[in-house]
Amino acid sequence: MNTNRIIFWIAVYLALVLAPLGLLLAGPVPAGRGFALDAALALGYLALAVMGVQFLLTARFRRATAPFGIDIIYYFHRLIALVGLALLVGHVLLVYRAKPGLGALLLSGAMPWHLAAACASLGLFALLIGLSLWRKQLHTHYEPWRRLHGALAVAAVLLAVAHVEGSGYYLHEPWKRAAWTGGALGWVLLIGYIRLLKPALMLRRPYRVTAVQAERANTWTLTLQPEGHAGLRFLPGQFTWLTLGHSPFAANEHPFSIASSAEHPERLDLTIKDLGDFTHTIRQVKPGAAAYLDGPYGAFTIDFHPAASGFVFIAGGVGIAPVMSMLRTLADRGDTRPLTLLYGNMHWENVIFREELEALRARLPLDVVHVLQEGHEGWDGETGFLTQDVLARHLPLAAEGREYFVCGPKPMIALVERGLHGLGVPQRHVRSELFDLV
Amino acid sequence: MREHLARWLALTTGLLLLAAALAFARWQNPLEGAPPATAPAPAPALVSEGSAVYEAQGCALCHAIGGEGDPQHPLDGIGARLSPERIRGFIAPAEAMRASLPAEVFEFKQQFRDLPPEDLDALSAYLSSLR
Ligand SMILES: Cc1cc2nc3c(=O)[nH]c(=O)nc-3n(C[C@H](O)[C@H](O)[C@H](O)COP(=O)(O)OP(=O)(O)OC[C@H]3O[C@@H](n4cnc5c(N)ncnc54)[C@H](O)[C@@H]3O)c2cc1C
Ligand code: HEC
Repeated sequence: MNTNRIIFWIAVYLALVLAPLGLLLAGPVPAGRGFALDAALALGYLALAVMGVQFLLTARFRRATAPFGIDIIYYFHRLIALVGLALLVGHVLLVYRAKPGLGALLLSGAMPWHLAAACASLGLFALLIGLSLWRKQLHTHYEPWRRLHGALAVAAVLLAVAHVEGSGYYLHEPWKRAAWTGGALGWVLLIGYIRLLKPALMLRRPYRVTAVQAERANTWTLTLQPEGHAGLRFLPGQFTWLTLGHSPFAANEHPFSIASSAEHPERLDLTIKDLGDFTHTIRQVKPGAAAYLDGPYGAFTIDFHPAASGFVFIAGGVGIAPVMSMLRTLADRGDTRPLTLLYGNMHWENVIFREELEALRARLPLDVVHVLQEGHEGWDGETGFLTQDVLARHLPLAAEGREYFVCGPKPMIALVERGLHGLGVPQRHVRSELFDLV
Repeated sequence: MREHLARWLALTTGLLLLAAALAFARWQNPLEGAPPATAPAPAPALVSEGSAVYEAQGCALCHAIGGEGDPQHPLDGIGARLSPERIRGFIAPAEAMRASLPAEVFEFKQQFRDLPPEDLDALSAYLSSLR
């Protein structure tokens, strides 16, 4: 893939979290205060740097997220938050161990404000991470959770900055203190970019709903046209965040794959399954309604693999959406490489785009294999799940240079990935898109 | 699969950050400056002399030992962290220690540089005995 760009952005990330620690060693450096205490302080500084850069990771900068696919960035955001929390806990335990007298201070009631800020910050970070890990178990809706998440993050980082201001050994030098505080506040200001500047830019590039088409299986296709601009230049298989029925400033947006051809950016189809509060409202959307898009994002695209000898798509349910975009684009381009689609659904009556897939077979060297969980009377195709046996029967395993794209519900993706692995398909040729980001 | 990449990246980053913290601490505390683990305990007479100087000089205005004094800057266990020479550097800070203390504290502590060397020896022996 684009390994160089990946390495470049990893290096940028590491520089952003490590450089602030290096800054402490620039110019006149305070004397060491013992290995354990200095290790503890370094952990604290690193933890704050990690938490600060979290704002950047979720600011959705397209150039930086493109080589990875934004889903990896979100996973990383989640996992590195745990790393940051571990560093923070290590900081607290080691400081306490190196300065045992501090315990009395915490209990004395004479706690200085910067230690109170530290305690509050630690508590908020723990709360923030707990709420994120157990959001679904706590039955918290996505939108209120997201707002709370942002507010907690800002508060926790500001309190940590206050703690560093008040107690920061290594920052007695005024310019170092200014650089540290300024840098940390800079990360917090990114919220301003995300919540104000980005929506303002989206407002200047509105879209109109031109059609709402019912598909099978409680699914609807929303067609959008750009208003007064050229539309979205995207790669087939990528997705976009959709704001509908709200102002972009409301931060009420949902990610959807673009299902239409990348050769026609002037007309975008989003194929949306009714799965919850927002998706349930799609059927009532009237043509003429305003919509806003933030995108495109994602690395789930054939266009990252121009040298492939052909493509294999394995989709489940509405996971067909990004695959449709790739098939429609390939057809519009007159591509002649061999294509295979394995498409899993509950019943025949649930198979979205059944007819169009049939029509696409006339325009493309495309094999379509339907796999129904429950076959009907007279169905002589595959039934059951997309198991390794089913894959073995239909995939062009002997062919060299095929790239695999898997999209569907989580259990299906896991099953297919295991099956492909079992059949000896190298992992580097398999990529999957999960519709469950948060 | 993609989760694995993210997991691997996060874990590697975490280990790298830990290594950076340890490297930072080692850089700041070269092995030769550390208090030897088996340092002989300072002579009891010197320690009690140092304790008296500590009282007399009002160190407890800013520091606490065993919960007595200002708890913001506890000195308990400092003998396990810093060598007597380093401790002395913090008591009566020379110019090179300017960056190690808040400016007003650095200025305030200049007066301790005029203490008789025996008192400073006794003070650092006393603090070194806090382990
Ligand atoms: C990269 C990607 C591409 C997607 N493409 C499609 C597609 O082409 N067609 C399709 O039907 N669905 C797609 N989805 C799924 C779609 O985003 C969710 O089904 C939708 O956001 C659910 O919203 P809701 O309010 O109706 O459901 P809710 O009842 O609110 O939530 C159901 C679950 O959906 C997820 N979710 C809700 N809101 C968001 C949000 N704003 N951002 C991220 N996740 C959210 C949460 O996990 C939530 O628990 C895609 C998701 C991702 C991440
Ligand atoms: C005006 C307040 C003040 C007075 C008085 C004072 N100190 Fe300090 N001292 C400090 C501060 C502040 C620090 C930096 C500690 C920190 O950042 O936690 C410090 C640091 C130290 C350290 C290093 C502590 C460590 O944790 O590494 C020692 C040892 C020390 N002082 C000893 C003394 C002694 C002995 C006296 C009395 C002669 C004294 N100090 C008087 C404010 C004071």
